[in-house]
Amino acid sequence: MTINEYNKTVDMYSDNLYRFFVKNIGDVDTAQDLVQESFTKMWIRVRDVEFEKSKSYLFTVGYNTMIDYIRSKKRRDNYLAAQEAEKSEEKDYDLKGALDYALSKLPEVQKTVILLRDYEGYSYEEIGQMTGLSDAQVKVYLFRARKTMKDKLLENKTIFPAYK
Amino acid sequence: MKNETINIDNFEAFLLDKIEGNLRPELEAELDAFMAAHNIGDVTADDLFYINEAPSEANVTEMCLFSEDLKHFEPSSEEEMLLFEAVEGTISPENEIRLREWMSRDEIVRRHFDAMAATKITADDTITFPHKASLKKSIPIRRMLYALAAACLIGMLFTFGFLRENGSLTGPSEIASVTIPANADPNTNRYADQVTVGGDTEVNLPASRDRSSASAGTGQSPDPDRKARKTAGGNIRKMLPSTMHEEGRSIEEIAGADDQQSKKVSSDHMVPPLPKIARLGTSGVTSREPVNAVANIFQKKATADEDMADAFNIRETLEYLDRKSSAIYGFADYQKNIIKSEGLFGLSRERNQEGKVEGYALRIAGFEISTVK
Repeated sequence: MTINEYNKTVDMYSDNLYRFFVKNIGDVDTAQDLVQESFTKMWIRVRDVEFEKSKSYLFTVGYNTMIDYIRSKKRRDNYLAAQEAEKSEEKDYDLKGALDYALSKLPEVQKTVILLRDYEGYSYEEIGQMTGLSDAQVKVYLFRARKTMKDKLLENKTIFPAYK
Repeated sequence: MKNETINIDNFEAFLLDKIEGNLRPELEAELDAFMAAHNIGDVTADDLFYINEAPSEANVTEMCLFSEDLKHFEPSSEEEMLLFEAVEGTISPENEIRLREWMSRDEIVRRHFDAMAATKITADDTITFPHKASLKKSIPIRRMLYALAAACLIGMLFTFGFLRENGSLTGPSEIASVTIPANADPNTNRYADQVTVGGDTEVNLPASRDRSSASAGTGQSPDPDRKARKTAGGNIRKMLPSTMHEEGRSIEEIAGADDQQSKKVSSDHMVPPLPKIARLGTSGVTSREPVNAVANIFQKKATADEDMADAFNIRETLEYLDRKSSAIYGFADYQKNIIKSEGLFGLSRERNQEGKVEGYALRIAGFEISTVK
């Protein structure tokens, strides 16, 4: 990949990667740091990466970077503490808010899988390559994620008033 | 229920005994008084729900719908999977038909399907990365310096080559010689555009000679300048001594006559001899300082004949310079257009038809150096 192609990759995919991190982590500053780190890792390997596969490479690097970050944060117990604090923040949301809330409650791997699927439109196979899962595992995680989110939505009296 | 006082916490137990007919009359009266005092309405057996009367399977859905306790209804795993596949778009046609029929007659399934479909999230385009510019990379300065050095080198080589070609690097006292073809017309105006400067760098002068040669077979003369030169040459021949334009004379004879004429002019007018413009030798016309011919017009000439010859040489020189400057201007314009379209500097990979990299190409100011064989 040339310098010009790398700069094109920045233009085309930095927003997508940033959204992926924001939805996964929920923290704008951390998401920006992760985007920077992911592109830095890509730049180091810029000669080996083909432009046609740059998006896939970028999201793979981004996912691994995010997992590393979450693990390190968990070691400091801050991540879990923040998650526990968030659990009590259930409010009356509109559909988008309810979806964001339901998404935030998913385990990391399910969140990643559903974001890659819905945001970026990747196939099960592509998601599997990025996350190191098999196609069947991707499908199972995706099913669990959707079912969990569906149940969360059904509990929302504002969105589905027929359901308590 | 013996020896107990009826109160708000236990009156329901007494009420149940009363409905079932197990309450003693005095307690029944006490219960009625308590309920009246607390404004509790009359309760009959129809108001009770008997859990031993299990509902039939047919009315479960209806009961759930009207009880508003639908969250307790859960589709089976298989049904959930059908809903999931429908949302994902991977459901088979047969299952899709099954699901549609199912949803058409079951409100709960339809609601579950709607909730499942709502989990399909869309990207929020308002979230954009704010520091895109900081991620981008520019061409390293070191590489730019190499490119500039290469461009300077190429420019110097080009300029040096051009100057050599133009004769500017040759000394002013260099002798320029004109080679006369064996079958050539001895008139001097025929050789003015076949100059060899410095003896080793050949200047390809006007294309008019080639064109005239090419059109010789057809008898046409497409070059108007050529006609003018012929006319001028004729006039010059009239003004030159008759020895210089007699038909059939050899080059040596003309050369000898020229020398004699020069000597004659010098001795007759007692003017110091000027640098010779052209001199016929054994191998052809030898011209001195042709690039300074313009300056020579300001010098006093010995004869009108020499003035005319000088004027003709000046005209030839001016035409030559005009053509040369046009060529240079055209070349510069061409390079400028290349730079405009491709940029001053470019580095690219050269690929073959199979897409494999064969080498690299460096392009500076329209000049390209490639490693591809």
